[in-house]
Amino acid sequence: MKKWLFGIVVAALPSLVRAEPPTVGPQVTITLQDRNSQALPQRQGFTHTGGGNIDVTQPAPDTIVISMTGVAVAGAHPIKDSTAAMIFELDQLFEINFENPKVKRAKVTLEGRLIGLLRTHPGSGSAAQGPAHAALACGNVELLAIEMPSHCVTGGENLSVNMHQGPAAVGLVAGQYHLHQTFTVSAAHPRTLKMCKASSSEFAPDPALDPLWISYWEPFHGALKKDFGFQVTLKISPDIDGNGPEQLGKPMAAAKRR
Amino acid sequence: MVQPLLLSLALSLGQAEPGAAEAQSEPPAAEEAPTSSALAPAPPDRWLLMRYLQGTWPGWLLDSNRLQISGWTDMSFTASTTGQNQLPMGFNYAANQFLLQQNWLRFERSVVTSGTTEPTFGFRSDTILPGNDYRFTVARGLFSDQLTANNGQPNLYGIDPIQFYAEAYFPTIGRGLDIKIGRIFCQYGVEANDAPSNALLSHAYTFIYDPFTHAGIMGTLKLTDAWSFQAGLMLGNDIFIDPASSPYGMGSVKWAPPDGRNSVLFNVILGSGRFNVAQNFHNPEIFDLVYTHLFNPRLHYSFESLYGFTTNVPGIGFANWFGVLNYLTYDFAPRLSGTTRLEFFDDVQGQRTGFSGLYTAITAGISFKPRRGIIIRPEVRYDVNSSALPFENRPGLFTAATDCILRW
Repeated sequence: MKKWLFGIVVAALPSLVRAEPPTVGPQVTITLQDRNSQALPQRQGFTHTGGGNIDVTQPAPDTIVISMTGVAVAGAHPIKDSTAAMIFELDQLFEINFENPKVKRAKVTLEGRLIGLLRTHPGSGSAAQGPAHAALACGNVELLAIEMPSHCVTGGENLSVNMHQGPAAVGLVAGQYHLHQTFTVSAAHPRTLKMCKASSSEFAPDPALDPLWISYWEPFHGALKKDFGFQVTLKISPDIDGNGPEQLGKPMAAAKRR
Repeated sequence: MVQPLLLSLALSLGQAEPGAAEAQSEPPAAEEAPTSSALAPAPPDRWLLMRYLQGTWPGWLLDSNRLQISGWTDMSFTASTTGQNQLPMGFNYAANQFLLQQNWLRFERSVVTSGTTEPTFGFRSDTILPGNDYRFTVARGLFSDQLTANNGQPNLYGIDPIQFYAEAYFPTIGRGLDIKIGRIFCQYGVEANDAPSNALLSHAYTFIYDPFTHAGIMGTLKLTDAWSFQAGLMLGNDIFIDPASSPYGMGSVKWAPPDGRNSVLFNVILGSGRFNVAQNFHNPEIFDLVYTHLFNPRLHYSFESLYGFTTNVPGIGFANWFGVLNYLTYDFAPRLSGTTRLEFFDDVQGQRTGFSGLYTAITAGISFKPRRGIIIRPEVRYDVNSSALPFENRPGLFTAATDCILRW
């Protein structure tokens, strides 16, 4: 009997002595605070706007993702000029906390992507995507920024936009910061008696743009739209190397110049 | 000592690695959620005109009010063993010449039959504008003077507002009650007035010599997914508001299980059943049975049997006729199908076709869609009458025909 008991104890030993790995959370975290954001549709004439979402998510304690998605369409009306726009603006306050007392400094990276479609019909109409801008600031001092250039198409041009910027990085200490982000999509069409198709600026996943508003033979038929929009990812990590802002690349330099 | 050690070794080996266990207990990766467009009901067919208008202001006006404008042009050529015409084989009746059979304009506001509990209202207007098919479908009292406008003979081409009705749909009555008021296609049979609904270019005698449209009110009640009923009160057969019109009733019962291989439709058209001698108008009674069977996803069969009669026919008295039809269709490819039709039509007294006797007609044709909006239907057909010489003093008729339908 003793032999059997000894055997069972020996058999169980591997389980008993297997040490649980210590739970390790992020050493630096972000706490979201006050937010002031708005998406402003502007419509005049024969127009359609869709989406208008400003989505702020925190997939991990050290990461926040902000998405702005919207659509603006302006069609050819026989007696009215048409303009449509969706204007986004966001101010997000947040606090950077150091969970590990050994961490004295954190590295913040800012990364942006912009995906969407611009369409116009030959003859008239225009569609544009305004500057997509995101900046990290402390008080009135801009610390880090990314900016995507504008695009505009007209007179039958069509454009698929897929831009990415970053990651731009800066070293920061714990404290309160805010992220300012802006984005605009717009379309315009003059009045005409011609059977012109609408101009559209599409930067939102389905079903923001009703397909009946654009040409059946649209040039981007079947495009995958689930990632459409202006998305900014802000991520924080311990600055182990101790790199100061001076060593962290062009975006910071650009921000300082501004 | 060795025994416990072996036991402990065996037990230790039997323990699963924690990593593996975790991996097994992890839920499977969630499948990507379907997009809203995947969940949305399939949009209605959009043909060339609506596609062209899509994205424009007129197109938006139509779409936002559930309005659609569409149509088609059906042109045919029939090579024949007769010299002038193939009558009593109707519709593509002109021998060895080109015909514009249908130039069809459809303007409609469809009712919403799913996704709502609210009643919805719509309408449909179908017009042959123009086409030679008007000659067979035109209703008395509605542009029927075209049939005598050419020195007492019909114009080659004419117009016919072949169908126009207002429609209301009540989704909460049974499984849905649909009411139509206006001029409506007859609801029996395999073949239809609109060319794209037919597998073959030419028509069967059973279709040609029986009613095409009714004017009146008709209700269709879906009781279950399989059973539906129709009842209607009409002004007669192929007649609009006219002194010759008389009250007629129609009714049908249909059994068609949603996923079944078989369906049955029985239809009756009942009224006076007497030839109106004063107005020279034919008032038949019709009994029709349609059975369909799906052998497999590619091969399907349809059977139709019709009996009709009229009394008080001048010079004849009681006139009756029978029709038996068999259709076998095989889909070779999504855009190519082949159909054979075998028909027996017994015009017992000759009141319908002008020649008594049993007509036997066998037809074989294909339906090819090189593009979504183009249908080409070549066919060969042989007709024979057992006891008369209906085809320019011949008992038989051979035709080789083709048509092209352009949907717009």
